[in-house]
Amino acid sequence: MVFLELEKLDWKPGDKILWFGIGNPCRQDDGLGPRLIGALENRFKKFDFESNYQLNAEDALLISGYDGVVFVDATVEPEAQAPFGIREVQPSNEIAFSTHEMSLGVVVALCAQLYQKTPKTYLLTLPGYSWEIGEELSPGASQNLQQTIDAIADRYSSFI
Amino acid sequence: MKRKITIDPVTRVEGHGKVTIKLDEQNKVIQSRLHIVEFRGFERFVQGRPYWEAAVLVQRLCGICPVSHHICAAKAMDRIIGVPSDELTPTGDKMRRLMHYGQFFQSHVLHFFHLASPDLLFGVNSDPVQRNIIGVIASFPELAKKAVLMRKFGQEIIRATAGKKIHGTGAIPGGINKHLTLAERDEFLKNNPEFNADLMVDWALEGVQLFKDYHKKNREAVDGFANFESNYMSLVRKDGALDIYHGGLRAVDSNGNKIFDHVDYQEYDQYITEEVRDWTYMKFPFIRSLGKEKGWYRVGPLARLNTCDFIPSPLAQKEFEEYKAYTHGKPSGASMHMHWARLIEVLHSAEMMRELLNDPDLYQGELTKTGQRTGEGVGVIEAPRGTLFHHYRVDEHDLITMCNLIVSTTSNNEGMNRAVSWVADNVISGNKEIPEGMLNQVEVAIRAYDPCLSCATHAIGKMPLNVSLFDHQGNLLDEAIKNGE
Repeated sequence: MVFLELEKLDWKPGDKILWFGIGNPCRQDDGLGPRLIGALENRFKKFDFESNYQLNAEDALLISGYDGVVFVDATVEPEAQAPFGIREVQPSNEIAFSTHEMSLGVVVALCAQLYQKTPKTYLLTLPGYSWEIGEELSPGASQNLQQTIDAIADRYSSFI
Repeated sequence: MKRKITIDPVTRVEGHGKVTIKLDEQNKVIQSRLHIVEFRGFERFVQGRPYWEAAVLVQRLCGICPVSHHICAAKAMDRIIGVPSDELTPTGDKMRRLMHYGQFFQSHVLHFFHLASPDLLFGVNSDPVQRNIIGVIASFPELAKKAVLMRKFGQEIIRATAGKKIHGTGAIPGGINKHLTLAERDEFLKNNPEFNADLMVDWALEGVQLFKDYHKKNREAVDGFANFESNYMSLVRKDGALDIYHGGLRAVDSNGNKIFDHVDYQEYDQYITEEVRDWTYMKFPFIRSLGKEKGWYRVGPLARLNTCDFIPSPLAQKEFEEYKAYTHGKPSGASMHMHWARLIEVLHSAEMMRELLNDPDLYQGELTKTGQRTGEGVGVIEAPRGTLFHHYRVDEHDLITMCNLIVSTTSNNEGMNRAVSWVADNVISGNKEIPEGMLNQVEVAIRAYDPCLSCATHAIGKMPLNVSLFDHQGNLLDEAIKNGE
């Protein structure tokens, strides 16, 4: 099942790929995104990696240099797929009431509008369960993380 | 029948922010309240850790303003190791200042481009399909590209001074841990004709002009929107100049009369205290001498321009003089003037970055100083959103035993509530229907303050804003939801 999810990542050989983890590592499972990036970046030399607490306008400039981008984030959605799910990100023009929030869709739309680039962009979500101040993942999140790492390592062994 | 209008983000616990407006049977507003997810828990998190970790640890709670917390904690630790922050080496002082100006610059640019510009360029009642970043790009593409590069410039300054863009370690107790290299300097000053400090000053000037052009055509709306009197507080330099890195605390009332001045911020708790209210986790700071009712104050760009005597960089000073002439030398209470003030500060930050990059003290000289160890220290800085306080106690084993933080958003809590109340009273009251433009005005009011959601999580599934309408018995009558990712 996890392999089928990874098949959604539609890349060609030679594509330049960025994995971008989103989240706060000091808010327990909110750190799932950066944790996955931390685990992958030591293994894969042929991917690029980046992490931040939230997205910003200049990330549109960053992703414009890639053929494919995978954003990684924790999710609170009750029906979320475990250990992870993948969906394609569509452009959006949603505006928030705070600079602490910029949606993936807006970053993708900015990239297209400003730089005329449309990398294939995906969101990989891992279910999280606990969000208090702290660095430890919950047991469920930890399991999701490890299974995701194993699945990606298996699927993309040629990118190591 | 009373109705309650709730603008309520739905999250797993308390949400990013929530606004509750209660109406009576005649649809008049009788109460409005703003709940913002606040900065809590960190104080416990840091206890028991060695004091030298504080300046790095504090950054982990926020991805928008980590550098402000980093520098503020370092200033508190300066006192712990017995070196007042205004007695650091020239290199230590100036490297921290450059880091802080970089942070200020990129934070303010983010706010204007991301939040303010759609409302200002298209109007708060314009079609929401256009009133967003994509609309700005479509109509003003060059502006958008400049904003992205300005953000990047500030981020690169942070990387060069703090060592890393995120979780930098540059500011340490007693000073800084690196010089700037000449190669780094040249990258910022002259190597790239499309990305350098001179361009940042030029573009910052364009930003101020953009607001002034908008203001000229929309004076009444801008000046009148959420305009109310308050006290104001910020740091000022010994000579009264704007100084976002170090100074004494100054508070003024709505007429500009000084409430206190040049207060050593080590004694802040003798002048400011916090009130707890039963409907929110957020506290409400107030000035002790004025009491709870009259002692609330605002901080941030508008407060800084209302309290300082001048700005120590020529282009920003010129804009400041024009602004002060417009407000007849008195403090301005107009919430939308925050954007004007913010853009003047962008210009000031650009000028100061350029000046500091040309200062030889950044490339040579002693990095740190030491002194006689103490057990308590307070650091205060002007973060982009306003005055930030970090207060620590450390025991004989070098472990932190107490931490108290007052973040800018907490200081602006009452101000934001008043702004929302103004919108509720003036725009929503008496209306039977709530069109999108009206609710956006509540957001406009909050956006002007750009509350820091530093303890918010960022997981998928959080809806940023939810509008709910309840009757006086709490029954849901109607709701509108703005979905997040």
